[in-house]
Amino acid sequence: MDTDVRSNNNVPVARAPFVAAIRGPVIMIVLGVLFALDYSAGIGFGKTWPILLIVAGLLHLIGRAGAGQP
Amino acid sequence: MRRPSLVAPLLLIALGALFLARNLYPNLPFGEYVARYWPYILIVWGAVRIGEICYWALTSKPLPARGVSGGEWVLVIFLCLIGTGMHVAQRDFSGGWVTSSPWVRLPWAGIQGFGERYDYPVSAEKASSKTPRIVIEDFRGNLQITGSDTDVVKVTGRKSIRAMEKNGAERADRNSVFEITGDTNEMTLRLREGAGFARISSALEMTVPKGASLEAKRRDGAVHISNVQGAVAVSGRVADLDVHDVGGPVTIDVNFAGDVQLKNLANAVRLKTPRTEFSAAGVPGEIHVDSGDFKVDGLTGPARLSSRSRDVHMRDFRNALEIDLERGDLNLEPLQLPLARIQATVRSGDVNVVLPENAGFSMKATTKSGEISNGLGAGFKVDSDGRKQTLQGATGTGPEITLEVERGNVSVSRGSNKLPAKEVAHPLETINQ
Repeated sequence: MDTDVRSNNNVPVARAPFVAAIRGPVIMIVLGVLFALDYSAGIGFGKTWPILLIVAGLLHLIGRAGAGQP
Repeated sequence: MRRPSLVAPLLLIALGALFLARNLYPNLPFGEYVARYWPYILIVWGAVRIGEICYWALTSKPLPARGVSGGEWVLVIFLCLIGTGMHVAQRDFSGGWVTSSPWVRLPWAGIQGFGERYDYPVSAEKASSKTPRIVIEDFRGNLQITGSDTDVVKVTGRKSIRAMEKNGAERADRNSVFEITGDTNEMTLRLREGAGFARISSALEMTVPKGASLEAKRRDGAVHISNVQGAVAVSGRVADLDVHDVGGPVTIDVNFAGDVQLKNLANAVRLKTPRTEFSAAGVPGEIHVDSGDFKVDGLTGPARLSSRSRDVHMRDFRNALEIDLERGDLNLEPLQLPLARIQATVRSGDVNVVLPENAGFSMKATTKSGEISNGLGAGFKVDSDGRKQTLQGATGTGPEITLEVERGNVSVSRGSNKLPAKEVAHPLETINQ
């Protein structure tokens, strides 16, 4: 399936595996940003941690939507 | 197929660079940097990973099922634990937070939520004797103390409060008041803190009677003290320190200092930082200490200096001198006659000594690995024994000068200028007038 998508147009790969692959790094970046905000802007990680759940949920949704597409 | 990631080599390089930098600049607070900036490692790590995945996707290579492997997550969790641990430790050490128990301050306790800064004026005043003893208790921020012909102790300045909203800041302002307690002879300036989690820092100017003795316990910030005749003691954690025109003994015991500037101190001086210890009978001239150098121009001994790593320049000093230097170059130029005993030990670094033209002294200089350049002429002889060199000799009658170097070169010579430059300047000024 991947090869089909690649040969048809310039979109490199099907979206589902791409979203799945960047899920980890995105969560890592969000984690880093939240801690950095805690230290520099004083917005505590204790307040902002639910953002991690939201981002993880969103990534799952996007991944599923991508996989569901023809 | 699993392609090797860039992250592991990049992490290794960053770690190596960090340790190298720590070795090259031992006085910079790298622990603090790591405690403060470790989250950016996560951000860069994630960004590099995404960059790699995008690159693979664009070059039509198969993508990994998971962008971050299980092993990497374990590393990330370790990084978070160590990072928050260091951060909490650092923050406690610097004491920048008003709350008392460290455990309620862990990030996941969700108590820190401070957005904006609000400023409030500070002003306090108290009648005083001519020679009061004043204790300034620790608070976060800058402090400037000046002695003058007055018999009141006066504090002005501002207090900055970080809070999420104005109400909280105002409450914190009401609950935290600078007050001067005690009687006219013995008083204490302190920030009375009420309950609350606001972060408060201040910039205060204090005017005190000239005869005052001061004791400042600091957590942070810069300290300037000038024009005081009593004893001065500064302890704690200080960013920059400037002490000048003090009549009494000066004792400085700080656990981290940026730049230290001491000038015109009539009485005994003691300076202690984690890597340097210094004492002298007086500093009629000035001393400047920063992360790389320890510069002295005008000193009354007997003086002692021991330092882990600094380039030391000592010019214009009298009486005995003892120096113990772990790493760094040593430059000595006594200028004053008669000379007194000098004893210097340098583990690793070059030593350069310039003695007055007609000084009498005996010298023994050794370097276990290096060269000795003899600019003293007749009466002094250099012997070589493998990599070890020794210079020995005497001229006239005078004290003993001992230089011991483990690794480094030694250069000794006589100066052509008998008078220090600044003393030469005076006659010219009078001629001009």
